[in-house]
Amino acid sequence: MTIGIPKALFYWKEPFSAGAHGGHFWKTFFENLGVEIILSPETNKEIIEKGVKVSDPETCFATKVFLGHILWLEGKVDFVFVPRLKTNEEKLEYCPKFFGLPDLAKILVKTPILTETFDVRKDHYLSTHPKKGIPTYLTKALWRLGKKLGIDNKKIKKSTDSAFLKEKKSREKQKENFFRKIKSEKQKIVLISHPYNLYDDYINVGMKKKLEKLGAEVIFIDEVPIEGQGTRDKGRRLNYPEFHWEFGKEIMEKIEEILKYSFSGAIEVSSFLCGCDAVLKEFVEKAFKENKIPFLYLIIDENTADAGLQTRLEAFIDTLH
Amino acid sequence: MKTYLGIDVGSLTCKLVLINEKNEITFSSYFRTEGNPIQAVQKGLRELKNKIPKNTEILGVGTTGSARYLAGVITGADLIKNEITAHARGTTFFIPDVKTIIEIGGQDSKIIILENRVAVDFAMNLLCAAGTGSFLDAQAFRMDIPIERFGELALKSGNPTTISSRCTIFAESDMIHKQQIGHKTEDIVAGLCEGLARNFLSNVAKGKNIKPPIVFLGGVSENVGMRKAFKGALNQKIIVPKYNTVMGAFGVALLVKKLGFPKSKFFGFEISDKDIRCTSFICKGCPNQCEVIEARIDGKVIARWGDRCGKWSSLNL
Repeated sequence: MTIGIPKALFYWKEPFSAGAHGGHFWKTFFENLGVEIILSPETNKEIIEKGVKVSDPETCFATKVFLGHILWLEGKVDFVFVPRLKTNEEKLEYCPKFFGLPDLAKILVKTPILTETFDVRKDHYLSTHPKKGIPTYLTKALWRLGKKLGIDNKKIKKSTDSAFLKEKKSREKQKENFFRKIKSEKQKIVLISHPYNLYDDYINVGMKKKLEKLGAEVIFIDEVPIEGQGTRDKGRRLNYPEFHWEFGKEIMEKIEEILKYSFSGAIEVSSFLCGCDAVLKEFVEKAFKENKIPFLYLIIDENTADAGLQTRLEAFIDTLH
Repeated sequence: MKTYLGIDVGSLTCKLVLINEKNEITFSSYFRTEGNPIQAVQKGLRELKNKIPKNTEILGVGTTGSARYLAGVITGADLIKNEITAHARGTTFFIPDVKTIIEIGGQDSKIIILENRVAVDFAMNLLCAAGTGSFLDAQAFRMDIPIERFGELALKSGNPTTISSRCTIFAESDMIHKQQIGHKTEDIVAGLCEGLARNFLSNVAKGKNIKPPIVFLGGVSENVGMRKAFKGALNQKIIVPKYNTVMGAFGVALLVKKLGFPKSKFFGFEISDKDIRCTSFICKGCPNQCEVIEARIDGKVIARWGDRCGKWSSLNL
């Protein structure tokens, strides 16, 4: 049996991905179950064109890209895996588009969709495993997923543990990397966006490479380490509402954290037609402006012209001197 | 005479400025690109050559504008600089205490906020070219008014009509509607100017701290109707300095002069008569299928760009 995993949207989301150094949670999990995995490739022009063609024009660019990845996998595998991410362990919701991804995928391709719902409200939080640090609601959902494939309990448990362990290690590596970068003598630029925009070079038009060419050290907001829940809420300086979105809280908390360090500027990258960003942007911008940090806002879509983007990045770096 | 040349190639027009050692402008030109930036640069250089003394020496060439890369490659420029920095540099030379620059060109509109002669913040139009020169051009053509007279006509209006400014398409249908129900042409033209100024301030300049002195630049700043509209909307004096349309070229000339290169890489005026061609091909190396551009002078490839991975652009030629 082979399962296809689209390298888009949920693929990059916490708690299943630790960014550039990890992101293999699903691959590790399924492979340990004894299933063969095919990952869709890095986003490319062909994938984008496929996705844009079938998308409703009101859909955000990142979702269009996701649909392109699903279409790429069609026919190459027995199942395409698309989980339904609803709430995280803090009972905060994922982007509403994430709720419907399995349904969208089902009507799009003939290849059957393998799905499972990750919702702490449905499975109840109960507890977190003291040693492994895995919340029970995740263990439960992953168990159901394994059962759908007819795998025995022991194997599911083992796969769950090893997949989380791997992500934990990746996160530590990411943390080390962050502290190395924050000490850099170069001009440090913080890129703010959702992980599926940050880690996908095609979506963000190679922004990291472009900025590095201009002499900057690029730090993704996703890489900023934050301590566990509870300690975070204490001593909040920034003014923002209680988001019911997990990414809203996460991004604002990480901005709060990064503001403790010194860096030159911040760039927020939004996927065209992202409704959530329309709300979030105001708070992100305010956070940096109030702290007198130069801020640039960019919108990307399938028509993003390289030249226009380059001009903005060059000018932004120039304003920092 | 020792000089420095700034070339600004935009979407609609091409600008050339030559400065001497004392930063004085000894030559400037402003003309339409007519869809061919290469020929425009060649034409500009030819005109420059004919108008300057024989003993003129060019010690540095800088390019800016949206076609700055292409212009830089074909002229052998020493500096290729973005138009924000170039405009900021040029403007602060004439108006050192400038705090806000509004620049509206053919397809870009931008606002630059300065503190102590340095650009500290800026914004450009995102995803939409509503209210830029191209649109005014199209409307002037549709209404059969020469673009040079468009502003003057707006000033004649005593009662500007409201034109929807959110989007170029809606603005146009609104204008047609106003014509059909019998509004005077000057009222419609004035209404359009007001709408575009409003659109600029609520989109491009949104959230920016607009403080005087405010300087208005770019092709659209030639339009007196637009000057009046900004003055009204901001309730502030709008300064349109001399060289308002060539400020980017002037700025990049100043920037290249400051670099003080011992010897310019400038290919010389001969390139006006050379056969410069750009061709493109689709790289089949991966599914990205990048369109790679190849620039040739007299058949010899001088540069390639447009690839995402750098396979072609980093090739030693």
